[in-house]
Amino acid sequence: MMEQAPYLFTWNKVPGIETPRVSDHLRIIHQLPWIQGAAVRKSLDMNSIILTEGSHSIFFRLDEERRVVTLHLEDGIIHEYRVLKEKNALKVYVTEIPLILRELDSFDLKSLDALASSIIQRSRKEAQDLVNVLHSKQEEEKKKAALVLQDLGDLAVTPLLDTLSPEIPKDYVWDVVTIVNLYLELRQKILKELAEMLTDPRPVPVPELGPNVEEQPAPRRICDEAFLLLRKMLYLDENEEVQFFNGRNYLNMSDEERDAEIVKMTETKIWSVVKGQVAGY
Amino acid sequence: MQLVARYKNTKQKVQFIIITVVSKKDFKKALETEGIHVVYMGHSRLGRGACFDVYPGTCSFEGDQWENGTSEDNGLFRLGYPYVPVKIDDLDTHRYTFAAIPVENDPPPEKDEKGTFNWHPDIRGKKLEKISYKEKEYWGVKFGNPKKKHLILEAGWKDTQNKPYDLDSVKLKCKVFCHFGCSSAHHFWRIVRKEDYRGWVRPQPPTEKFAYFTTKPADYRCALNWLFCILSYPDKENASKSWWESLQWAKWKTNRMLGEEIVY
Repeated sequence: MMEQAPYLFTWNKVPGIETPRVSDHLRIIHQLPWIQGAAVRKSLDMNSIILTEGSHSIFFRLDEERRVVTLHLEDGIIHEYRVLKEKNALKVYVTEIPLILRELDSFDLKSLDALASSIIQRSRKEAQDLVNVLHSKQEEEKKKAALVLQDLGDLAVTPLLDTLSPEIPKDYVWDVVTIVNLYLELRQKILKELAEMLTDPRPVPVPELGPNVEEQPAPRRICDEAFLLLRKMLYLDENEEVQFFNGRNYLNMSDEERDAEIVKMTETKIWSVVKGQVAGY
Repeated sequence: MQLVARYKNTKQKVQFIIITVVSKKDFKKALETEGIHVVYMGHSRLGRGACFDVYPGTCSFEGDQWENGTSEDNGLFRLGYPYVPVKIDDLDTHRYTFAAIPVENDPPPEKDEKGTFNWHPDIRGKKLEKISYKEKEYWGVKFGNPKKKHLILEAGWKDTQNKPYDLDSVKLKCKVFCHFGCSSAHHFWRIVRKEDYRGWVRPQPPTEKFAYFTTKPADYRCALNWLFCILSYPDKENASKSWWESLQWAKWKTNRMLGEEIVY
């Protein structure tokens, strides 16, 4: 379970002293205003908590293994919560990412950072286990780990990068070659997407700034964004400042002038190399 | 000058004292105050500098407080390139006295004798043309999307019309200078940082002379998010360290917070 999962309630304290916590969660997070005056009761088998008010009715259900609680809403939507047994009490935690986000304030940077760390940790854990096997002396398992890691794509890059061991040249080189290959695969996917965006002239909504802002954002189209991003990816000899000034100059152009710049880029040698590299383009 | 807040971050072991200033004179004083963190939140005046007025509850949209000022309280503190293109809309909106270059004079040189750019980056490589405004002709240029008429105004950061309210006239002693007006990186970063201009260079290792700018049109959210990040730099003792780490964290985090709102 995620470390950042917010605590919701203890199963045997509802109905009871933690009913207001559950009511607040349902009212605010699930936007059920009627819950305020709802009657709360347990089912006869004690495995459901039922909340009713007039014609409204929803319930929480504890699964047989007592690891998961599901919330069944009137529109048929079901949400899942995790249960942890702590000192003989069944504690229910919010674990669905959309619900956790609703619980968090956008200025609560500490919790948002912790949530990000927790997701990173979970998503990389198994790839990290594979890398550990790869770096172990279990010869048979090492081969299998190598095969799986290559199939993981970008998920394998950071765990490999974080645990490089230059002491053993063969392993060191294998790891770095794999990292670069996986990076190039990802790069090609990105380039393919950008190449498609380059032909899309739909406007991107301009963000609304305050009324007294003197400089308004230049109107942009999807193809303009793609053009600027492609320049960042392909023209590595342009430093950040040059990219920034070029980008601003580009956005100061009319749509026709920008289109001409796009055409000019697609006629360059570097673009023909990209076209050759990007499978299917 | 007004004390707005005190805030103690016990994990950082830092007490913050936040003071606002609204006049040009007090802004200069802030830049000359040793060791403080100065955050400018306001207009870039399309590349001319920072602009001030003592706000009496109403804001006058017309007058010289939008350019050179009428006293030490208001008008520009100049930070820009010597020649800056200003759209005619701005002259019409604010109706201030402006220093454009009549076509009877030579057009302003793109570079000085040392090869340093005089022109603002938006007009480099462009051909200046004669633009009529209020029955006179001035040097100007049309650009932007859609294309708009701009006059080239005398601006600058050194020996300006606003002296001593320009960058060259200030003994910069603050530890951090943030200009969070629109596109301030584009308008002022080189002027503040590069040896060809003011040359306020951060030493290595980074212990002082920190400066931060914006790369896009910006509103109040930029400075407020920055302040929020500085105050809430997480869970680390920061009282006796270089500010570098916390400032870089604030830069990273502020950008993410602005990214969330997709501010260009």
